[in-house]
Parts: sequence; C-alpha cells; structure tokens
Amino acid sequence: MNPSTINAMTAMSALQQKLDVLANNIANLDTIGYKRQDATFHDILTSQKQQHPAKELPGRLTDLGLTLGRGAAVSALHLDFSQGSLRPTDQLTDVAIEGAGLFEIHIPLMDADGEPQLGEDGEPLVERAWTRSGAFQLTPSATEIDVSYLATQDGHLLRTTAGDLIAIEKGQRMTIDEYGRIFVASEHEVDQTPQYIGQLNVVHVVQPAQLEQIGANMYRVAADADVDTVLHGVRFEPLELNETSFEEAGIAIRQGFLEQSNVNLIAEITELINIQRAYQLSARALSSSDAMMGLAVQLRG
Amino acid sequence: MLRGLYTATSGMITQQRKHDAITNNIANLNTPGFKKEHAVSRSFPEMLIQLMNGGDGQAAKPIGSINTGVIVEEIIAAFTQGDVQETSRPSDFALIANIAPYIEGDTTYYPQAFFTVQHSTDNGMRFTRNGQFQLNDGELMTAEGHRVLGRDGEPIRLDDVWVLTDNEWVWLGQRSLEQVKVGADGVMYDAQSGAPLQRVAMDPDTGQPLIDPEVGFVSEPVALLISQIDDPYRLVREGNGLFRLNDIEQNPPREVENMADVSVMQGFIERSNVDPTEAMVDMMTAQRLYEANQRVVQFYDRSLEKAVNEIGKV
Repeated sequence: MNPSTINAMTAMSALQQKLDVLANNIANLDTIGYKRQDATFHDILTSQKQQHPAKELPGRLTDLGLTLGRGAAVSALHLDFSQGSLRPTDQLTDVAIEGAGLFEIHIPLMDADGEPQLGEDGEPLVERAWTRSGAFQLTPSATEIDVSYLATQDGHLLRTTAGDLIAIEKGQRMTIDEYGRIFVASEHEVDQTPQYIGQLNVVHVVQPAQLEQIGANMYRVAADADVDTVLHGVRFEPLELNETSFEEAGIAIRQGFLEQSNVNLIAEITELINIQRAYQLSARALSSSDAMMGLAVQLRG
Repeated sequence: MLRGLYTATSGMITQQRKHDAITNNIANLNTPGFKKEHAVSRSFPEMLIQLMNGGDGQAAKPIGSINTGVIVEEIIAAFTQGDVQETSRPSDFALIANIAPYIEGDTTYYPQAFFTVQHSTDNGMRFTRNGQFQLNDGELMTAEGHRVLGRDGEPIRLDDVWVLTDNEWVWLGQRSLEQVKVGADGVMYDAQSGAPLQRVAMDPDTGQPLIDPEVGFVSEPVALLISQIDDPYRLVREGNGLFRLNDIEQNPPREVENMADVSVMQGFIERSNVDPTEAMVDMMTAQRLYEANQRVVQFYDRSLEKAVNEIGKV
C-alpha cells in the first residue's frame, strides 16, 4: 500500500472511534450524573527516509532525511469532569455532588463467568467502585422489620465513612447536609433534635485520567494506579494524609437534587458534523490515492 | 535517446510524495497541536546540452541547459499558529507564541515556542504543541506518558507542593489540576489562595525541608518550561505530536526570554493548523499533475513503439 492509502485508512478508523465516543455521549444525554468522554488524536510515528549527503544543497531548511507521517490515531479517552446542572426533585433520597467528587459504593466481585465470588466464610466478596449517580432509594432489610437501607439505583448498598450501612427506620426522616452528614429524625415529632448516624462516603477525584468506566454509570480505578493518589476521601474532619476537607476539594452535597449529565447536545452535534466532514475528506483522500494507483497500473495503456 | 521518459517518471514519484504529505495533513485535521507539512521539490541539477555535428569542421556548440527531472528534497512543517479552542478541561493547555523574527548574518530566524517534555523511553528532551496533559501518580504527563518538564529542568510533580502565604510555608500535599491555576507565563498557582505553588528542597537525611540561613526554605516555583526554538525547521518530526532536535548537545534550546511573547492558556487546546480547503486543492493538483506525468510517459512509450516497430519496416 502506498503511504497515502495508509494515511487515509488510519485517519478513518480513528475518526470512527471518535464517532463511537460521541454517539455514547449523546445516548447518555439523560443519564443522571453521566460524565462525557472525549477522544483526542495524535499523529502516528513518522518514518524517516535516509537521504544521500549530496542532497544537502544550499537553500535547504531542514536536516537531512525525509520524514513521512502515517496518519492519525486516537491517543486517549478523556473523562470530562465538568459539573452537570442540578435539577431539584424534592426527593429526600436524591443526592447530588457539586465539584469533582464521587460516591463510594461496594459492588459484588464477579468471576469470569459473571457469578458472584464467595469468600472463605461464604459471604460474597465485594470491591470498591464509585458513582456519580445520586438517585438513591431505600431497600427494605431482609432481616429486620420496618428498617430500610440507603442504596443506589442498581441496589448496591451505601456505607458511611465508618463502614456502616445507612439504616432508616419507618417513620424517620433523613436529612443530609452539605458535608454529607446524615441525620435522622422522627417524622411526627417536629422539635426533636436530629440524630447523627454517619457521613456519606464521598471521594475527591484528583487524577481523573486513571478512572475507568465500568458501565451502569460506575467507575473504578485503573489496575496499575494507586487508589490513594487517584482519589482522596472527603471528610468533615480530615484526619489521614490522603483525606481532604470539603472546602479544600471544592465539593458540596445537595440533598433533593439530581445532577444531569454534562453532555451538551449542541457541542456534541457540532463535533459530530466536524468529524463527519473530516471522515468525508479522508474518504476523498482514499479515492484520490486509489485513482493514482489506477494511473500507475494503466501506464502501459 | 529519449531523455524525457525518466523526467516524467520522476515527476510522478514527486507528485506521489506530495500527495502522501497532503493526505497525512488531512488525517491530522483534528490532531491538537499538529503542524501541517509541505513537500518541497527541487529540479535535478542542470546540465549543459551541446549541438553535435553542427556543420563541417565545427566543434560541438552549447545550446543551453536542461533539467532532467525533479525530486522531493525535503518536507518542511509550517509552524503557524493553530486556532485555539475552549475545552474547559483544567488539564488542557494551549500555547500562543508571537516571538518577533530576527536577522542574524544573512538568515532570518522565525523563533517558535514549545512545551518541553521528557521522552518516556530515552529520557531525551522533546518539544510539542499538544498541551493535553494528565496527572499520573502525581506527575504531569502527556496522553502518551511522556513527563512534562518544569522550568527547573525536572518533571513537574503536583504531589508534594508548598505555598508561601503571609510569610508562612504551608504544605498542600497533592493537588489536582482543578485546584491549580496556570498563568499566561506557565507559572502554577494555588486556585484557592492564589499563591504560586513551590517545590521545596528536602534534606535527604532528615526528610525535613532544607533551610538556608539567608533565605529560609530552598524553593523553586512550579512552572511549565516553555522552550524557544530559534530555527524550528531543524526540528525533526517524531510522531505522537513530538519534535526532536538532532544537535541538541551543540545547540541546546533556551527558555523563552521574554514571557510576554508567549501565552499559556489553561482550559484551551491549540487545534491543528491544517486548512481543509487548501489540503483539498493541493490534493487535486497533485493527483492531476501525477496524471499529466503519466500521460507524458505514455506518449514516450508510443514514440518508442514507433521507433522500435515501424522505422525500417519495408
């Protein structure tokens, strides 16, 4: 293949990948707390052709050698952590994060067949995962009557920073303040002092580049990265080295709000048009190089 | 002998190379910081042609000069400024350079400015205009994992930074790029207090900050190293948006002298400077010139056919 054909081919496959990312963003226009992704390109390793020293002629601007590019490729997928708009819902179980934070949850560890893995004591093994989706719900406890636990949309139970489940009894009203502190009070007795039961486990994303999307609006930290440098726990009273305060991280918790996806449809469509035209231009480059190969073939008419 | 057969062939090869350069530009229409390239052709050395057997007793008489072909001599990049596009990502940086050209001897230099990175395999210095960085283990890196160099010549780290506020040193520990504001001169500031981020030299024995009796803490501000390349045509394209200098030992690049000539913009990227219209026109031209040269080869082929098959036929 001649280099023109390779250039067009690499460019078209890279543009196709970018198109897939854009399509995924547009599909998640209405997903609570979705963070858009962005693909960027880099030029592909250039081949350097040796040139005879006799080509070092007066007027030449560059060093000896002929550098030829080989098109473009997708260099990285970036997670865009910019804030989505907050929509008031007046639901007490809806919680939104302002700033670059995530809720920490525990999800069952799956084996290769998609079956939950069990530990030595017969309990299912869990791993840490993070989500931005604050559309929580109360799931009834299997053992205790009139007790519900706070869980995500998909039923993963939430835990406080101390590791306890967040239990709400029937007839109790849950309030969460801007520091993620959870208080419960009886719905009937108005003047009762709310009882503090724990703090929502929220983390500050320090290195968004090391987060991976694992579907169902959840993230995990890349296998080769150190969790403590990627995410810092956000605490009302930070104690540990890898903990930070809400003020310092610029994070606040808003109860009764849901965060919309940060996909801007106009920006995505603009990019879509741009990518489609670039694809078209690359396709023209491909047919042009094909025409040239045809001319070479027909040299002997 | 028909000289032109090889001349036309060299024309075809040259147009093919030009076409390759243009399609590479088209492929990188959306590559941040990409600089378009042009294939520059040069005619074969001129040669004198002489009239032989001009007449009785006459010596050969020169009748003029001729070139017998064309080659692509070099591929040069056009380091013009690309458009700047807002991304609002705190990890994106655009570099706008407006350094005045200067004349030295009989050469005019058009200096350009670049971000300086350290190659991940050979640790050599590379230059790039693609400012899409990310934090990885507290280090500022390009998307391909090359470390971004700071003004002190060391890779930029944001996991052990200090600030000096009200004459008091405060250890900030690890910062994310949202908590950092980068000024137009590449200096990094703490977004909350507005104080410049500092790296403090540590005593290797005690693990405590080194204290100089005169200045107190020994510190360096954290800032991006913006290198000025006086003759950007000497930069060799490496792919991945990187450029290399071949004679970096003899001719080390210098830091931009007057920081007012350059401006670093956080939350923006510099788009590729490829113009699709220009690329399309150039591509069509190269294709048609290739075709024209192909026709010339065919004409020569027909002439040769006549010479071989028809002359001397009875």
